[in-house]
Amino acid sequence: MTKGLTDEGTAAAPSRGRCINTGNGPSLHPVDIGHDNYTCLIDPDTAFWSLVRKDALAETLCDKDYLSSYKRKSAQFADEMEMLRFHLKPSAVYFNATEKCNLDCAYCYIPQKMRKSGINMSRKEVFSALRKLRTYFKRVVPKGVKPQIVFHGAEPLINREAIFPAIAEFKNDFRFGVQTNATLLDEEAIEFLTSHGTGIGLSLDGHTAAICDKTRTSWEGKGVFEHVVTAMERLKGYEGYNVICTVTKENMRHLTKIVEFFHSHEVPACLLNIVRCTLPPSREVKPADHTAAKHFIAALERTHELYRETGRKLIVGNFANILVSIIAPTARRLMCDISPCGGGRCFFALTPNGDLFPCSEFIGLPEFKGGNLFTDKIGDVLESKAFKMVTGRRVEDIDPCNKCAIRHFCGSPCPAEAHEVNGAMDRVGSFCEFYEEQARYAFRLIADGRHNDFLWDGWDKGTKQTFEFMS
Amino acid sequence: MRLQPLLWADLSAPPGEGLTTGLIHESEDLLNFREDVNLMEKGSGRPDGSVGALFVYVAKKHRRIRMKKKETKKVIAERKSCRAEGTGLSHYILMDKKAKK
Repeated sequence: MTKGLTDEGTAAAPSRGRCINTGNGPSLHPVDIGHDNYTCLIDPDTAFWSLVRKDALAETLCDKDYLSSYKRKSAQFADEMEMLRFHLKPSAVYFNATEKCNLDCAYCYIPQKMRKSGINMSRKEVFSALRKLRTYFKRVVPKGVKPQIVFHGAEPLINREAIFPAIAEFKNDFRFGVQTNATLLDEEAIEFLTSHGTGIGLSLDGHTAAICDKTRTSWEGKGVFEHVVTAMERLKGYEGYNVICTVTKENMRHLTKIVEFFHSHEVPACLLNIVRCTLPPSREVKPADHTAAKHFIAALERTHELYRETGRKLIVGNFANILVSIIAPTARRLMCDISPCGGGRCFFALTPNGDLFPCSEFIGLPEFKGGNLFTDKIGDVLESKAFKMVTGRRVEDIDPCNKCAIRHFCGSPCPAEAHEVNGAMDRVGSFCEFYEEQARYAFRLIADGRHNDFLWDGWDKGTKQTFEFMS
Repeated sequence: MRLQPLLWADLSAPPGEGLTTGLIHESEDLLNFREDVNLMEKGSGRPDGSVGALFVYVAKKHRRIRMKKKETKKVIAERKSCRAEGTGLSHYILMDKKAKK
């Protein structure tokens, strides 16, 4: 390499990087987290952060020990983010074994026509698909790691005759999960799934039938609240289940009551997922960003109170993931809150006719079909133009994310939403303040030393401390 | 050894500015008193996360308690690392659970 040039052949800046925010010095953005005593400094590119007492901010910015501690680690942290964002291999599949659903939920991302009169995979096709996936994953997944298959929907239990034998047959090859509306989850199904260690996700949007019925009903308009509650009762004590509550303008004011309801039913974990506005009907129930954030954070606080009162946690998984992404970026598991997101690079979605999409969110958007499991090589599909549109979406190319300090704790989700609602991949999704407020809240919890109360026990197993600066 | 309530303390000030139990840890014969955990477990936490008035339990034979302002850290910065796996699925928390016995 010519002296003074970087690996890429560009001229290296002749700066020793001795000071913050000039030359080659670390770029640390001050961020108001809404805490009485602390503010935050964040290097957006490496996701490095420090909570600094407000009366010590100027002193810290000039503190050579602090600066050199970070400088020693900044390259390692940059490498971590590079690996996390661009070099992971797929290890999971959203497996849609049916297009059909017995419900007509307001915000579903699968087109109505498909759900009403779509096709099922035969048992033979399910087995064939799993054999192909097994062969592929054996090549790309590290030894000792089982790839994950989540039967998703539409309503997967409509095709249980194909799914259950597959779970039994391939139990040593995959870790399985089922995301279900619970209407077909009878005692026999629960016995089978729990005895096979299958993850079970239920969907419930409220603590009363009246609230649930606003977004989740059958084609005839009948509610399903009682079905889900019955399933929750039957699943009590099974650690491998969670409940997904989609946050809309219809239920956001009740989130505190909803988490109380989940906690009282001993639900071990839930996700309070903000509604995705990919298809037009879901936009009818979109809540305002800041209002949704207020209710979401109130619900998180309520889970904390309940934990303190009872000693039993209700983990809100999507928020826990943001906390983890701050404390240990590489330990995060959900991949919606980073760019590129996990769609098409950590996981992909399979439809009943074998078509492959980067994520289930894209199933209603034909231009995002990357190929077919039965006729194409998975490796080629991952390199297809359709998949590259998603896996190439970076926050650095999106305004205002390219200036945002929390861009690697948010990721500007979701690409399907950005494309459909705002017209292009290099646009933000439907929510911004919602994610901003979650990050601020997460930092406040860390400042107050309360963050571990919101994380699942053993979350940091396998991690090691790589940076610590306390003064 | 039996524990008994010895005093009330108002810790309603923001973290770092109010009285804290820091030096109580230096007391002899103090049983199982862990700052924060015990305070909250005794139901003294407020919905906004601040710590309100509380009982401080100390050993019966203890006589002297010194309390002073807790020093808040000027800088809190930490990071953990691990091998990233990146499943990305919403079932992520539960997928590593064992089958029901």
